[in-house]
Amino acid sequence: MTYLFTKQGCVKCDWVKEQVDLKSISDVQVMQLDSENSEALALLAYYECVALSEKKLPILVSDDSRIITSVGDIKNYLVSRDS
Amino acid sequence: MASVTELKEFRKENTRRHETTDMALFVRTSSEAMDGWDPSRIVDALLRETYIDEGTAEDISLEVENDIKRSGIKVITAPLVREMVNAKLLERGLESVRRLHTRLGSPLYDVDQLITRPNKENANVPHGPEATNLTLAENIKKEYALLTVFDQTVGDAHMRGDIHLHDLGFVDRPYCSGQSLEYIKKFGLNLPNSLAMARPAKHPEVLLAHMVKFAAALQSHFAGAIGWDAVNLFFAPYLRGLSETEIRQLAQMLIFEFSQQAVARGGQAIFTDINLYWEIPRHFENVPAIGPGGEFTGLTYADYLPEAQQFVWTLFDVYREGDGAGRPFFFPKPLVHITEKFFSTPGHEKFLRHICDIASEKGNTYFVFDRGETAKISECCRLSFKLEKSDLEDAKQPWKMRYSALQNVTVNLPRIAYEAKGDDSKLFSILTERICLSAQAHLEKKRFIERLLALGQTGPLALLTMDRDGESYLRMRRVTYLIGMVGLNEMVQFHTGEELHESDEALKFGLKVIAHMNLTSSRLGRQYNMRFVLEQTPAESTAYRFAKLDMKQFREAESVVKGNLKTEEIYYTNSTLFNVSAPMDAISRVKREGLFHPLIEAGSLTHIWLGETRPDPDSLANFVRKIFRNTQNDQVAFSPELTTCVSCGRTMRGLHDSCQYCDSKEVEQITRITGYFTKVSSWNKGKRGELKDRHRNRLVE
Repeated sequence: MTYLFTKQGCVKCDWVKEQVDLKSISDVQVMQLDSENSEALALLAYYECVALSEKKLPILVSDDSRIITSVGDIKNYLVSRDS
Repeated sequence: MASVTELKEFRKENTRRHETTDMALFVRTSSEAMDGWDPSRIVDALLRETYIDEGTAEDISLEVENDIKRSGIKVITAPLVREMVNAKLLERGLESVRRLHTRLGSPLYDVDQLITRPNKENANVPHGPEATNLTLAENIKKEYALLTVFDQTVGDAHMRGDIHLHDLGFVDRPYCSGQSLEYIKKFGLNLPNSLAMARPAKHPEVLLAHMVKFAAALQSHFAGAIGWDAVNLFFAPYLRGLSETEIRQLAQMLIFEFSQQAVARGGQAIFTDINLYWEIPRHFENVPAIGPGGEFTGLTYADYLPEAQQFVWTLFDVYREGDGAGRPFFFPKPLVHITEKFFSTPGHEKFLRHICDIASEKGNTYFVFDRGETAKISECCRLSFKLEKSDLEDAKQPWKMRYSALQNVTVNLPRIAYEAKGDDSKLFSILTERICLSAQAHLEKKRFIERLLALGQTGPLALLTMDRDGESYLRMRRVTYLIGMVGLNEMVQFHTGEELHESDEALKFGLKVIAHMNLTSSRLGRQYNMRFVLEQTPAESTAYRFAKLDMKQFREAESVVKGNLKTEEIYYTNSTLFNVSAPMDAISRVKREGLFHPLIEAGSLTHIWLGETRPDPDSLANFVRKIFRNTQNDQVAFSPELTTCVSCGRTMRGLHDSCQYCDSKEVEQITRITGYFTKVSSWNKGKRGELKDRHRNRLVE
């Protein structure tokens, strides 16, 4: 499973969502970080990205546990999954 | 209904009637007198202490008098009279009046046990007359807290073991504190209620004396640890020009003074932590240094790097030697901050090896990892105050940097799993309720402390209201309220069937529980405008208490509780730690336990139990580097086990029942209990059970 961690009001997160049709990609789960979503925060901690998320979002954790933060790289990764 | 005047008249008449009574009864009163029987005292007490009407009070006093007459008793104690009155109140359904009329105290048997036997609830308290006095007072304050400070819902939840309110016996003080030496360097030792005031120290030994005395004064105003920030750095301006011998003498004095305070005070040792740096922390680099006489030296702290480094190196030389018998010093605990700047500061390799050598030999060193821009003051067993933007602004005037946690409330996690019976949503719903209850407890304690603080210089917390820099010493606007947890491992085990170390699914579920605690605490913090933060509870006695209570109330507990059921040496695993007996290699434990640490703002720690082994300092240094670079872990301590012979005075590696040198059976086993070293003989049953279970890691020797 690939996880895309995003947050409301995050311009870069919205850009990625606009560029890629996330619904069409299987095995990609969007995890919205907010004050209620303990599942998302727990997964963020599991992938050792809590401190990182305070500085950078979105964060993509690939199915082989690679961590990608550049929006261009995230887009390319997701597009490659879509094709 | 009778008017007030009529009631008063009735009372006077009744009193006259009592004056003529010929009851040959004596009452042993609480003011150490043997007074004649006077039932108006019952009425007076009821009217003074409760809101009962005078007529009912009179009726009760007459009924009690009749009961006593019928019994034929000749001498009675005031506490017994009070209990008889309380029984009458209960018969009338006046429970709330009875609560107000409660007498606090201890049964004779309990007092006898306290006087003759050591306190096992806190291994840090010696056994002696002064300690007994303190324990007795603590017991009364505990009762007072549960009756008066906290609402019955909160008190009952504590009594049942749903939550644990820490340090109830110290309810009239905050929990822990972190401070700066700069305060006494700048303002001297000028404390409320002190018979003499001292101007700022001109010599390093005097500064040390001020530090120790201030720490002792603070310890009597806080329940827990007294931490000091950047001690080697703030001493540095006083050390310029001193010889190696003089600096060594000062280092020895500092460590011995703090380590011997327990005996001197008669009560709990001053639980002291000294935060130490090899580098100059970024936030202190350009800060004007305060030197002898409280004057600015004209230099910044960055200019004192050589003195600061020499002092911290020498402190660890003293730690390496240990006390007069070669045992590790229990206090002050040295916390070395490992930062990015640490690794770019010349000499760090040698220093890291030096402190790893002491970690291997004596176990003293705590490695505190401040990654990225993080800066913090650490103390207690693992508590830390993460410095925020405004704190870093305060760093320009470091005497302002003082922090406190007002209280610690711990949630019993395994019990929630038993109650949820495998239902996820029920589990999270109960967990939310318990966190809300913890927040309510914090709110109630805050109100109580604020009430005491409002009494100002004539109140019991005068020291904390002193305002040498224009602000109260205890800065309520900056206090935190701790929410802890015990037994995450057992909760997950009962709910999912696997322990935290056994599968990724179990680990992820554990993370979800802590993430939920984190988010709920933050939400409540916004609601109450208070800083609720998670802390890994050290749970020296709570892990035992919860396990014992759950074994009585929940049959399910037997399937997950740890320890030896037959000997009742049972416990829950502390906070978010993994099963202490799990045969994990050290790096896996550090890495996987460390996954929880970013969710626990107020402090976490991983223990590596060394047993008899003495790892090679270079390997340990390499291990510490890897922890910093490759994990999220906040703090690590390595704990060797040692035995000291009382007969021949020698100290040996490992826990032994007799001396390896002289065969004497008079030995003291020593190792780390939670976040500090102490003698095993003073541990409670639960901790002894845990000690037997601990998996000892064999790092490369």
